[in-house]
Amino acid sequence: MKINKKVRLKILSIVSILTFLAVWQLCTQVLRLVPPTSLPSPGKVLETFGAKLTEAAPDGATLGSHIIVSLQVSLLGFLLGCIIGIPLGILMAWYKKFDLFAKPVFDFVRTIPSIAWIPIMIIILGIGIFAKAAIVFLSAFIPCVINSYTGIKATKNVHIWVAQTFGASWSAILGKVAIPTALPYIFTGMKVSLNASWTSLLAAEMLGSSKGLGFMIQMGRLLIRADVVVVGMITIGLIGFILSAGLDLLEDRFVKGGVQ
Amino acid sequence: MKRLLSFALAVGLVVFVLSGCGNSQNGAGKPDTEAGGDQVQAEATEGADKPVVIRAAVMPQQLSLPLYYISQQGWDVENGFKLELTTFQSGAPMNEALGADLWDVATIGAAGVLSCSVYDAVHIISHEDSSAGLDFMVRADSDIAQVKGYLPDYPDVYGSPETIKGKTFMFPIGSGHHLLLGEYLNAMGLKESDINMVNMNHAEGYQAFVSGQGDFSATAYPTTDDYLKEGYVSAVNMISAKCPYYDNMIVNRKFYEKAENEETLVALLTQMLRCADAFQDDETLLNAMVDWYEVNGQEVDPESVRNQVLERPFLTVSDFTGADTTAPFKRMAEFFASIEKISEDDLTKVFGNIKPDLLNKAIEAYNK
Repeated sequence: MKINKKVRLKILSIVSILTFLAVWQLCTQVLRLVPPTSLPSPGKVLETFGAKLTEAAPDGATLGSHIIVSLQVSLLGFLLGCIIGIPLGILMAWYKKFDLFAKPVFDFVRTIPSIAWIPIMIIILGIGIFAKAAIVFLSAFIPCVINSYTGIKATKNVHIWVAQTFGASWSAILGKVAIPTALPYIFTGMKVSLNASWTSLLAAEMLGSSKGLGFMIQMGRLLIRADVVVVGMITIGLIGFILSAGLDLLEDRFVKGGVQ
Repeated sequence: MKRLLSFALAVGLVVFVLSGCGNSQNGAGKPDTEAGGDQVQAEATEGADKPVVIRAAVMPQQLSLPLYYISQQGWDVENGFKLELTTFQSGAPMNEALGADLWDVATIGAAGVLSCSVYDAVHIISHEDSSAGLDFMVRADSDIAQVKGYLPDYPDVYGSPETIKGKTFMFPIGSGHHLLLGEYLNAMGLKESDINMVNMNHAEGYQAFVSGQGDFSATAYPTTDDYLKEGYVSAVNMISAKCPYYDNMIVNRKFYEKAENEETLVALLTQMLRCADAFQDDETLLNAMVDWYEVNGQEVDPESVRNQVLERPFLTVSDFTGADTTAPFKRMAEFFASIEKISEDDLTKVFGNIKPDLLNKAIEAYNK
């Protein structure tokens, strides 16, 4: 009975996607409510998707090349965001003096849109992968800091008191009580960061590029190829979905329980 | 029942959202008059004295100056039409606006090829020679700048295949600079795969270049002068590469196909020719351009822009006589096809959408 319910729920999700595709096809191909230059039909998108696997036209590179370049940029930015953002958030939450020192700068920086950093990044880091990764990093590290900070702050005092009663040092309490408590928040922050890193990818690839999914979308826009734009969007969505699923697996592996 | 209602609502919502992406047109290139020809005719009779409104897409650059000048001088209203100018920063958003049917005529550069291939727009005139100022700059101490006149047919061009190979070019892909690069590489016997191309706007390219990035940077007026003042060298430009580059006027297919608009378009082109004649006087052209800059929020010193303004002449009746002024536009389209930015079918479509008949009528009217 339980299995049947699971299957039924999965069928419902599939039906929702199929309905969306059918309505899309109906509007674009059958009723022609939308001109193909504004929104191509699912069939046309699928055709372009297949063609882009082997053809470089019209944007100068195959879909595979664009994906590799974008993955390099977004993952580098995302990982840097996590590596720097998570410890920073933990330290800010755990050490009050460090919080007072770092928070004003962080609060100032986090309100600046990553796209606004482009001119500065060109001068400091040039036009290579590091400049683009830096733009992605600026988007990715903010949710990591905020969620790590909130997670550590969510540690219950009673847990800290128990650890202190058993003679645990301040750093042991951090490692064995506060961080495990914060893990669900940290993973949520990482998921938000992952999303932010792909969102800022398009801005990053405005910073002088000749390959990448953001570049491909820009070229599609320039050449009025809505099918190329949609293929780029769907590819970003699929990659984001796969990476997000990977993070979910990691979360299941490392997080016990969940946010109470 | 509730489920059925929810499903119907969801489907309705999706249809509504998707149909919102389109515009009110029933099909590309389908004239509105088909739906209510009598009504349109009745309105035309009622408003016979009212000037026909032309929604014109312009850029804050010299190519759009004639439309501004015609409007300022009142030459539009006195000839039965009224120009309503909408400013765009470049050709790409102009094309997007064309897709949404937001303008009737536009002054446009290389992006006009896509207007004609994708939206079936009509090219009616190439009105300005804007070859000057479109350059690729290199650093004076680079190996490229050490070789001048490698190709005897291009004595003012810098570089050789050896010094160009593997170098990084920063330029807006799909623009006039892309054509210039194509001509340059072709002359040197190289291909795009022999170099690195980086898609960058002029302003960002300048910033990157002066901070040490890239080997070639694309420039256009007014930044071309800044590069030269700072000691950079023009490795190749449209003039040294013998590649004329003209700006164009494009008409929305829907506007073009309305029979009653033919007279209006001829009147507009006649005023363009009148404008080009007026601009043969350097001071008139310079003052008008300074005024156009100011309208667009740029304060400029007339003397500092004198050369760049005067170097890009507007074509007069004599320029159109016995010469194919649409050749640069065709060359651009052929280049786009050669690098697979448009298909061969699109190329045929672009060529088919170049219509010189209105210009011929305007020349006839202007000469009377």
